[in-house]
Amino acid sequence: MEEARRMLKIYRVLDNDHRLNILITLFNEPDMAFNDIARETGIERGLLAYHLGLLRRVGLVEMEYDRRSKKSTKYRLTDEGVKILKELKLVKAYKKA
Amino acid sequence: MSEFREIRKRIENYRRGLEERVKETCIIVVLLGAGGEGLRKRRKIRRKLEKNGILGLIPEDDFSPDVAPSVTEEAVLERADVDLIFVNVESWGSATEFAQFHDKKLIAPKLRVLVPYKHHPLYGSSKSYLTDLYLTHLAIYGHVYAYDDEWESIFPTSEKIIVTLSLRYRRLKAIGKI
Repeated sequence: MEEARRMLKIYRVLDNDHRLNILITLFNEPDMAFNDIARETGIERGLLAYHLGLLRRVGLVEMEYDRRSKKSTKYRLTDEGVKILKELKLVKAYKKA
Repeated sequence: MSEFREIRKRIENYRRGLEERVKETCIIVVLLGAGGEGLRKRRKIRRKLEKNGILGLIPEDDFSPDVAPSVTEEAVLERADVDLIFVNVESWGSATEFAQFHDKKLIAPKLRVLVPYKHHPLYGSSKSYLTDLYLTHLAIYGHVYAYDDEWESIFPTSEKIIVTLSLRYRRLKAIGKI
């Protein structure tokens, strides 16, 4: 039951074009800064912060925060994020040339 | 047409299969309120929601530090796929949030306002600009709830209100009534 609930949360979060776009972007270029993701995906910054928050919440994306750096946050897929993308055969279709 | 039409169809099928298995759906809830003790309370409520399969977001914890919280909140609450927004009016900051959102047509219907019972427009005795806004919101949308986290009265705690309403909302959504 617990595992099914956890997967249900993940699939609820995946059911959105913006979030799929973010996952593919991070698969193609791990350790991207927030502003670079915004530029690459074309998602408005406020909304991007929300979508990344949800992806982190369900454990598909992780963030590294460095107060000293100019590009203060870096985002990457977790192992589970990569696994799910592969299971859904998303990366094959959208891998950058 | 969605760029991810095919993949979204597959995701929807997985999701429906899981919903069928656990006999429930997943909703996204945003918890707004004060910092300090208020933030600790919200984190506790979020843990309870998440145990019940509900996704709880707290802007201070979950939204990127690259963007000012006020920018994120407005963009998110207006255009994202959030199901419910609980705002616990327990500080000047959260009172400002309520005042900012109460008449936004895309946000107000999702808004569930929690007010300490002493300041509730029907049960309390205080008279202020805010009480007037609560009454207006109550008359239009009907979602202004009196709470008591000090156990001094018969009113429920903010935690009980948030968890109870979220669970019922989720059930109604699962059976297609919302």
